[in-house]
Amino acid sequence: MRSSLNKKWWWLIIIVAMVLINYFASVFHQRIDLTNEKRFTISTPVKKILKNFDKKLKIIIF
Amino acid sequence: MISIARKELQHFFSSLTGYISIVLFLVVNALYLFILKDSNIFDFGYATLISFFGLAPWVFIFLIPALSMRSFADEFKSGTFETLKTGPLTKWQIVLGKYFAIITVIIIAILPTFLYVITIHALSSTGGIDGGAITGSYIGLFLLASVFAAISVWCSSLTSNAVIAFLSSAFFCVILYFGFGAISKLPVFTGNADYYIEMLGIDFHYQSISRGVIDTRDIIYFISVIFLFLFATQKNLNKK
Repeated sequence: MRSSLNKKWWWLIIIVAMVLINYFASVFHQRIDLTNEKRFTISTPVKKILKNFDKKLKIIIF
Repeated sequence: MISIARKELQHFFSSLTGYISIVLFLVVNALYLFILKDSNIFDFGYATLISFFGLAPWVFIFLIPALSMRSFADEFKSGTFETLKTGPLTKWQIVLGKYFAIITVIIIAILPTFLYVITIHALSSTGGIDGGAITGSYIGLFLLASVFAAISVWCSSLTSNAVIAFLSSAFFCVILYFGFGAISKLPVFTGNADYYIEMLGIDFHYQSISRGVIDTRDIIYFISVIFLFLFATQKNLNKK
């Protein structure tokens, strides 16, 4: 590890490592919603409705 | 490490550098947010600090390179880096010592802006502002400033000329903060790669944290960029 990092291409190795870390972080992630009214979290009633919903759904994001 | 950080801090506050940069940051923000027309929070009508968190990164783009341009460039120029190199310190300790001194100055600059939060909270007619969102925004601003500091320390370690260090670090900060978002909006990328290109930039993650949602992806992005630049700095020092 040490010798490979000391070679000429250390920066390439570390950039690839960073990209991999970020990729895995995007696969397994957690989020905390700090806003008072939980503005960016899907609320439980919505989740309940969505569970019993099997038709096509059109979502408008604004 | 701590002794280097302390020495750097003494350097900042025994000359005018530290005071000027902190005062400038606060004066620009206060002028823009509370006094000048058109950008005034009072005229804006909503009890938020969104305009502060939009302005502060642009002030930091000039301020943080100015703070840290001398950190290594001056040592190389005056030859004091030789003494530092022969001392009983690892390269990481030197880099981190300089880095944390800059971080401390940034924290001192950010702390008085809590007054804005108190002001807006007291003035709002509907029972204050959203504390959670503000906390998220402050965490985002701090992480953004730390990334800028890491970039500036790296640029300073590339050259022995402080002015070149300042200009190049301001350039890299703009590229990383604003450039990737702008590139992703080019018509070539719309519809396929734009989301991923935007994700490379700081602004994407900063906006995400600023809303008040703390996501591990954003935190890991910031930490890995900081680590990348500090690692490159450390590598540069080994070459000298």
